[in-house]
Amino acid sequence: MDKALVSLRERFRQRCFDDLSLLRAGMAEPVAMTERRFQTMIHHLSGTAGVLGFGQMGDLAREIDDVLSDGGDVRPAQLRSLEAALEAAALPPGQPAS
Amino acid sequence: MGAKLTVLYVDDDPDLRTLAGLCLEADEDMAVRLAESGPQALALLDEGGRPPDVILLDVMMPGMDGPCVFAEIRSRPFVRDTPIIFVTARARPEDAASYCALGAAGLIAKPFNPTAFAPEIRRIAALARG
Repeated sequence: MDKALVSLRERFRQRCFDDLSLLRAGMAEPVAMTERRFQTMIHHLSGTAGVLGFGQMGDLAREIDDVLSDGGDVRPAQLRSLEAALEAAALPPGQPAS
Repeated sequence: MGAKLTVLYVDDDPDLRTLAGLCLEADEDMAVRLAESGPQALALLDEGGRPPDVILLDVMMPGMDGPCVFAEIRSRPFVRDTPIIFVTARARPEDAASYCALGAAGLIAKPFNPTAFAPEIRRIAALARG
């Protein structure tokens, strides 16, 4: 089980690169946040990150998911916080954040 | 020893599906089947054999979402009374109320606690069966 969890965490970490690109696209062009692909990514993060040990990332994604599902405007600070969490998770283990 | 509690877990997220499968298989008294979509879950049910004792449904899935799958399941007489639990990151009180209004046996919020996952399913299923 522990071995499988490590493997899942590694797969998730790699997925963070793709999610980071999508998040940055939304930050650069807010209309991208209305796309289903973006909203699905946020929703998946909100459900998956916490289970795999990335609790803070999951909490940040959930806040954004709630705002999006209510049709509200996501604050830039929320996006920046999630970006930082994704960057940290995407780093190879043992590599310090810049 | 009695028969195992059979669980069908439906989620489009491959990581969560794998993790849920591991959590449930770690319980010796549970047997689990996994489906990546509503249509796949319905196809599994329609294959015949012993229907699951409990069905866990993700809510937000592409194509056919959880509530749609729920309605399809309920239209099948052989699983009409099977407890269905929604598993979702969107688990605010108003969301929970809407799932219960549909007739769900319960709701498990994502992120779920891997060690508490199987006991929680067992608890909700027991309550639903009275």
